Amino acid sequence: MSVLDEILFAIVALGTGLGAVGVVFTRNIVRQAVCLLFTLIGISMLYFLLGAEFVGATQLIVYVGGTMVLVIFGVMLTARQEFVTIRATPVEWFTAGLLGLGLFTILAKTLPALESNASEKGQLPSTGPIGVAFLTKYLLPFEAISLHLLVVLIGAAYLARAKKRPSDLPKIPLEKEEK
Amino acid sequence: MFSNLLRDCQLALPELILSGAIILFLLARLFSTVRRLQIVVPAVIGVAIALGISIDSWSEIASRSQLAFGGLLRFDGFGLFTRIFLLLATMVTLLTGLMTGIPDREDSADYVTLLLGSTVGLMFLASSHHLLMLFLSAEMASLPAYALTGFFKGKRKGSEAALKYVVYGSAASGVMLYGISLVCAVTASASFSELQRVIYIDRDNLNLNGLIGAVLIFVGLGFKLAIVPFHFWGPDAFEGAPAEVAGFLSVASKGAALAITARFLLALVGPYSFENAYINMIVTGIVLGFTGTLTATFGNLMALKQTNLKRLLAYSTIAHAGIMLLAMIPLQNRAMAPILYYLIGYLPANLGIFAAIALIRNHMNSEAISTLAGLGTRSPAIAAALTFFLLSLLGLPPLVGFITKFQIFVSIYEMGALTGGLDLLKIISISVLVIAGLNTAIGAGYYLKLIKYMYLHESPPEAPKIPLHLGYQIFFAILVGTVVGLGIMIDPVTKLTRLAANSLEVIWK
Repeated sequence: MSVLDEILFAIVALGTGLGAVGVVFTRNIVRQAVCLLFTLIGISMLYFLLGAEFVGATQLIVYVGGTMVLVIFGVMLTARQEFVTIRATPVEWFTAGLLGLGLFTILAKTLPALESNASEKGQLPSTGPIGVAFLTKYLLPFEAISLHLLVVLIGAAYLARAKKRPSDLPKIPLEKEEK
Repeated sequence: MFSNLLRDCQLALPELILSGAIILFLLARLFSTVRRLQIVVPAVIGVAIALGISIDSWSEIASRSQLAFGGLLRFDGFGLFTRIFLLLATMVTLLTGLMTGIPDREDSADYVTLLLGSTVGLMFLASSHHLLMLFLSAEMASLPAYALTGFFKGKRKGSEAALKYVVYGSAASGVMLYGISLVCAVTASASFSELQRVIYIDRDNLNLNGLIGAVLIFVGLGFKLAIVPFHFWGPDAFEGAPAEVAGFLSVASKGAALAITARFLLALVGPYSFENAYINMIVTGIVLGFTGTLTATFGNLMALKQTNLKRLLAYSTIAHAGIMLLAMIPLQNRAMAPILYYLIGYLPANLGIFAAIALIRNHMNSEAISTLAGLGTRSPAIAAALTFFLLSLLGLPPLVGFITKFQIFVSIYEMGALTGGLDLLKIISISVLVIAGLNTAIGAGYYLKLIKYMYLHESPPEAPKIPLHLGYQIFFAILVGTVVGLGIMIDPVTKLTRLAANSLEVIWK
């Protein structure tokens, strides 16, 4: 690692970390979404720094581009007054803190002990080899994901669609709402 | 390369047929005449073709193990057995839907797509030989299941259940993914062939990263299996989901999850010749024994005080998952044979119960246990079928539930008795047997309570009779026949399950 690498890493890591802290400590849901946006961009920058351009670009497109726009739109469309500010109760702080601490312990315990496999092999594969791998060795997962996305899309469309109930179709017997 | 691909596609032909059916049903909706048809019938035909091909390939695949798709999947007797089981479960679920009118014509295409999509995922899951494929197929199976759980869109409970299932499910997937990345970092490979090096570096040095990774993957699998303490989604999801879907979740999802757990654990322990196999086995066995007894006891105790039929069955499913974990403790190929036997015995009994619940719900608009009151006089056929199913789940001879429990207890006992000198295994085996026996007794409490409701309680005055068309009389008769037949034809079935389990031999790189 050169000095420049280290400086860049420090900047990006600081930005990512601050973004994450922002998500936890701001109350307003729109601010939280924007902080999350910075965290996700920071993570994609980390991938770029590692030389994993494909993963970095995917992170930008999928999370930053797709998911975040969806989250912000969802927040803006659905946020009524009572949901705009989120307040956590002490119990929630406690359990979340405990879970976070547990995860942090695992991370702190495991990550430093791992030997780095990547740096010895030099440059990580870029889009070209990854594309070839998708169509040869990893053909099955590639196709399986395509099918999976199709199925999930249909499921999402079903859940979002309003139920029309023409009289010539048999009625679904619905369960009585309990209580 | 391409000849390999052709061979691999041939091995995965049933999955390909289901995938083709999904796309076909999607395209069929472009035509307005087809759009109004009930799609469940063609789906049953599609599943039947896939089933026929699977059964036909038995003699060819069952006796040997082969890796396919670059080592991502593994086709062997164990996988084939599980895939046949999954196809059967899907078929029965579809037929139940046809009987109860869930889905109606308008929604049938969506329902079928989601169900088949989930089945394809489960089938891939059952033959995974790679952590990438394990994760991917688990997601493939789960996401449609989340949508199916909320299939009654207008129902608050259904939507709530689906949301809970999604949130907990994604968290569990995240945990599993973290475990997978840890294991990959340790072995520099995600293939199951490398897993036996994960827990111990050599005889004396525990590999903490690998151990944590393996435990996290087990947590993810445990969520799919609904074992304690990752069970909390189960009762809520079952209560909110339509009974048809709940049956599918409790039989098919659990079957595939059990199969992959067995594969994962066997690969983790490694073959007998492997130097760390014994110590791996002790570590894994203690974890299994602990979670298994906890799960079985908790599930049974909670089931005792339920008032909703589906919640009760959810806890019964949890308890059965616990017993299955105990059955895995010997961690050898042949110990997996009783599990396969259990799965095919569990299928007709549990799906039959859920089909009956769906029928009762259609006519009485409720799923409380009290709806069963007086069923023996109102609808003697359904009550009789239910009695058979419940007694089989309880494990009464000559029904199939008895012989599966018996085989499991024998295999646990053998582990303790035949490995002379290893005291730790003996202690594990005896304590597990005692707890499993106690659990069967607790189970009697709630299974018999349901039967008592059906025959000894007066039916409420306004309770309707539940009509059963001839087709569905045959449907229930076949399920009951299977429950009895599998309990009597012990030798041929045991032979099949042993053959399938023997193909689990760990493949070395």
